Amino acid sequence: MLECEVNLICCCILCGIMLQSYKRQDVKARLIFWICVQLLLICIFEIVQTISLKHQISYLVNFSLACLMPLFCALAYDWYVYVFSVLRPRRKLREVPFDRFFRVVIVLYSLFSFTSPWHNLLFVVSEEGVEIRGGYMWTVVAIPWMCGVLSIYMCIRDLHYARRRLTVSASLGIIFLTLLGMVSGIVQYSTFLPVVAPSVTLGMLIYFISLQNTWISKDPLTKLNNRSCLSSFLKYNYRSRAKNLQPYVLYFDVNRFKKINDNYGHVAGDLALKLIAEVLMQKLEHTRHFVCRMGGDEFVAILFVQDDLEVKDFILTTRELINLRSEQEDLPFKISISIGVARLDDHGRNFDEALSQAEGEMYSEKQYGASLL
Amino acid sequence: MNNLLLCLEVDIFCLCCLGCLFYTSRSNYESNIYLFFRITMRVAVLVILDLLSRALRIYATYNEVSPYVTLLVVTLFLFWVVYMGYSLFLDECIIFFPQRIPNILSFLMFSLPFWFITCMIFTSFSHGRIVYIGVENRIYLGESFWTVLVVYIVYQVLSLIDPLTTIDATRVQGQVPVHLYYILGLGTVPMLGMYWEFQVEYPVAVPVYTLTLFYIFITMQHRGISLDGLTKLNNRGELNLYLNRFFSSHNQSKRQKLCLMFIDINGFKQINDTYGHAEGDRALIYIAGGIRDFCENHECFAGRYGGDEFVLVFQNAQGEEMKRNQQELEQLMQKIAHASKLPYKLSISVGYVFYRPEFKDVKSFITAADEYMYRNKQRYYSQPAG
Repeated sequence: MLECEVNLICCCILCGIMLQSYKRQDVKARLIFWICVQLLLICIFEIVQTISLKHQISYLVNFSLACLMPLFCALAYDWYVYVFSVLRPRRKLREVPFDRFFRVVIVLYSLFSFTSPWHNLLFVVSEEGVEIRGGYMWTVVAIPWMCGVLSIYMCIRDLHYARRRLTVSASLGIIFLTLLGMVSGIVQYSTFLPVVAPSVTLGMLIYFISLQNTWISKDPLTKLNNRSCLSSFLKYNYRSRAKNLQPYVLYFDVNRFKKINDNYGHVAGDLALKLIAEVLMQKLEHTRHFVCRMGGDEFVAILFVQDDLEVKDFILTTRELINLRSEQEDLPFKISISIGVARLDDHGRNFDEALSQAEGEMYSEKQYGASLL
Repeated sequence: MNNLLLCLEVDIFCLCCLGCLFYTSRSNYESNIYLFFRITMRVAVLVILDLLSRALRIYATYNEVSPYVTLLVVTLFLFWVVYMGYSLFLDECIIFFPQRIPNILSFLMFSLPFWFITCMIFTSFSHGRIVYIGVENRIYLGESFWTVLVVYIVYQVLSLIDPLTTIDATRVQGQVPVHLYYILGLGTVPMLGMYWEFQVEYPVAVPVYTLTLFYIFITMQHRGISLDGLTKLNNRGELNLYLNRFFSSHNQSKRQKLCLMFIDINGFKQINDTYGHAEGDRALIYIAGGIRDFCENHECFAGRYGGDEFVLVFQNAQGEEMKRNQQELEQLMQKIAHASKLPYKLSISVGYVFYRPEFKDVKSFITAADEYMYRNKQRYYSQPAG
C-alpha cells in the first residue's frame, strides 16, 4: 500500500478541486475540472496497476496500462487547450491550432495501446504481471511533450508580443507547470518512479489556489480589483514600488450616476461602470500604479509618479478617453467623472486621511460641476 | 536511496502541499485565515518531525546510529502530537470565544494533563513507560503509551464542545459552516489517524491533517469568492450562478414557480452624501441583517446585487403569499429602522415578479423585477414627506 498512498492523497485533493471548480460556470473552470478528472483517472489506474502487480493478476495490469497510455496524452492535450483558453480569451475553443490532429492522434493511440497485447509494439505483460516495454514505448512521452512544447511556445510568444497585457504573470506560471509535467514525465519513464501524478496534482493545487485568489480579489462586474485588495496592496506591495516616486491617491466618482440608474435602468448603469473600468484598466492595470473599485460608482487609484504634472496629465487624458469611449458606444446619456487628488506620505501611513481628503476634494469638484449646469 | 525516497514520499508530498497553503494564507488577515495559518505552521512542524523520525528509523536499519538520537526525535514527535491537541483547545477557547475565557484556576486545571504528560514523555528515556529502546536498538512503545493518545483525544473533545453548541447559532443562509469542517477534519479524523500511526508503520496522521487543512482552505476561499465582504450575503456572481441553474434546460418545471424580489433602499444616495460612506455602510449592514432574518424564516435565497440593491429568490411562491411577504418585509425593515435609532429615515422599496416564458435569460428576469421595484419607488417619492 505504500506506493498507493500518495496516489490516494492525490485523489482526495483532486476531488476537492473538482468540487470547487464545478460550481463555477465559466469555460476555464470547466477545463480545470476536466483536467482534474483525467488526473483522477490516472491516479486510480496507477493504484489498480500496483495492487494487481502485487497479486499477479496479469489481465488487470494489462488493462490499466492500456488505459494509462492514452490518458497521459489526453491530459497533456487538455492542458494545451486550457493554455489556449487562458492566453486567447476571446477566441473560441474550436480554433485551437492542431486541434483535429491531436484528437485523431489520441483516438488512434488509444486503439494502438488497447491492441498492444497482440502486436507487442508498446508493451507486453508477462504471466507474473510484470510489464515489458516494446519498441514504441517512447511515444508515451513524445506525444505529451509535443503538447507541452506547443503550450510553452504559445506562452513565450505571448510574453514577447504583449508585455502590457494581463497574462504576463499567468504565462510564467503556466510555463513552470508545463515544464514540471514534462520533466516528471521523463523521470517516470526512465526511473519507473511514479512521479507524474503527484507532481502534476501539486502543480494543479498551486494553480487552482492562485486562481481562487484572483476570483476573490476581482470585482465580477468590472474585472477591476475590489476593496479587499486595497488593504493588502497597502500592506505588501506598497514600499517596493514607492522608490524615488511620489505616491498620490485619486478618488473617482461618476457624476449623476443615480440619475443614469433611475432614468435608464440598472443595466445602463452597469454599462457606464464597465466603460469607466475599462478606461481605468487600460491606463493603470499592469503598470506600477494600482486601481480598484470601492463599491457602487466609486473607484480609487494609487499613482506613483515623478511630479504633480504627471497626475494632472493623467486626469486630463482619462477624462478625454472616457468622453471618447462614451461617444463611440453611442450611449443615450453623457458619462463624466469627478476626481479628487491627495498626496500620500512615503510609507502610506496616512492613507485613511488622504483618502477622505481626496473624497472631500472630489465632492467640492462635483458641487462646482453641478452649479455650472 | 530509492527505497528511502519511496518511503518518505508521502511526507514530502504533504510538506509541499502545506508549503503551498502556507504561502497563500500568509498574506490574508481575516481572523479565520489567521487561525488557519497558525494551524498550518503546527502541522508543518509535525510533518517535519515525522519525516525525521521515519528517515532515521529507516536509516538505522542499514547503518550504525546512536539509538538515543532516534529516541529524541520520536520523543519530540510525541510531544508535538500532544501539544497540537492542547493548542487547538487553547485556540478554540481564546480566539473563537473570547467572551468566555475560563478563569485562571479552571484554566490551570485543564492544562494540568498536558504538563503531566509532557513530563512523562521527556523523562521516558529513564523509566521507559512511553517509549523505550529495545532489542537491536529499535524503538518500542511502552506500557503507558495509551495515556498520550487519551490526553490528545480529551483535548480534541474539549475543543469540540464549544463549536458543537454554537453551530446552529452561527449558521447563516448560503454560508458554508466552517466550524463543521473544523469538527469533522481537525477534530475527529486525526484521532483515528493517530491511533493507526502507531499501530501500523505507515504515515496516516500527517496526510489526514494535510487533507483536512486543504479542504478547510478551499472552502474558506469559496466563502471569499461567493460572499459579499460588507454584508455577508451572497454576492452578484453567486446570485447569477444560482439563477442560471434554473435557466438550464432540464429545470423547466422548477423554473415555473420561481419568483424574484428586488429590494432597493430609499434615498441611499442622500445618506451617503450627508452622513459619509461609513454611515451608509452601517445602513447596508442593518438592512442586510433584516434580509437575512427574513430569509431564515421564509426559505429563500438572498444576494446583494450591488450598491444598495438586494435580490431575493423564492422557489415556491403563490401570488397571495408574495403580497404578504412584501408587507412583512417592509414591516420588518420599519422595525429595524426604529430599533437602530438612526438619525435618518431608513426604508426600502420592493418589487417582485413571477417567472414568465418570455424571460429568456437571467438578465431579463432581473430587469423585469427591477422595473416593478422602480414603479413602487415612484409611489414612495410621490407621497407627501413624512
